[in-house]
Amino acid sequence: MCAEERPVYPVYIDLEVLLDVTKHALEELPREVIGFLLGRAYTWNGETYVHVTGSIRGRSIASETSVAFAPDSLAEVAESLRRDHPDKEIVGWYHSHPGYGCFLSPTDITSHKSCFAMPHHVALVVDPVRKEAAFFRVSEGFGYEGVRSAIVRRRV
Amino acid sequence: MVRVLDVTEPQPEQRPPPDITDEYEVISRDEEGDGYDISEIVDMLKGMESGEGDAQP
Ligand SMILES: [Zn+2]
Repeated sequence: MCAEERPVYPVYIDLEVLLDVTKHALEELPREVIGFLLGRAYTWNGETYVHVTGSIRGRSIASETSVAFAPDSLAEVAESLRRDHPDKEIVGWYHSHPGYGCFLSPTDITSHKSCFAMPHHVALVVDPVRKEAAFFRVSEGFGYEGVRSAIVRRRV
Repeated sequence: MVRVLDVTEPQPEQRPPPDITDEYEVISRDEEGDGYDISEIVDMLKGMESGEGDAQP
């Protein structure tokens, strides 16, 4: 085995979390949903990655075509995080694009930049209609890029 | 001397990624960063919702 040579992906997500996020997206169809990704950032071989191990559903102002965090929801989540998951931090956010594919709109990029300043913060977009999901990071300027990731499950 | 610790942005701790530890198994990889086909997940959840799906692991 050459485990040491395996590239470090920017994101690892527990299968359970992807299930929760997809469930949230399906429940609210045809409206968009939004939420926070919880976990921790780590470094390995000089690379920073995040391991997503939880999620919190956000209170959003949602329609079929746009979604935004309710103004006080970030503070609320930070508070519940301190209370219920002191070992976790917010490592990014998720939202759904019911039927129109996975990408970041200009509004999404603006939201990301205003709430998630760290370079390792990620955005997960789920399309429960086309049955697709993808991770993104916002880059310099007004761009974004898809990032490599892996879905993992803790062995029992 | 007073040292101010910023607890909101701790320095990431060194830890091997889940895919090189024995603790985790990899379900799927997105090698190109172009996303996943989550048909299986969606279909399984829809099956559970309708109560007709067989419970898959
Ligand atoms: Zn969007």
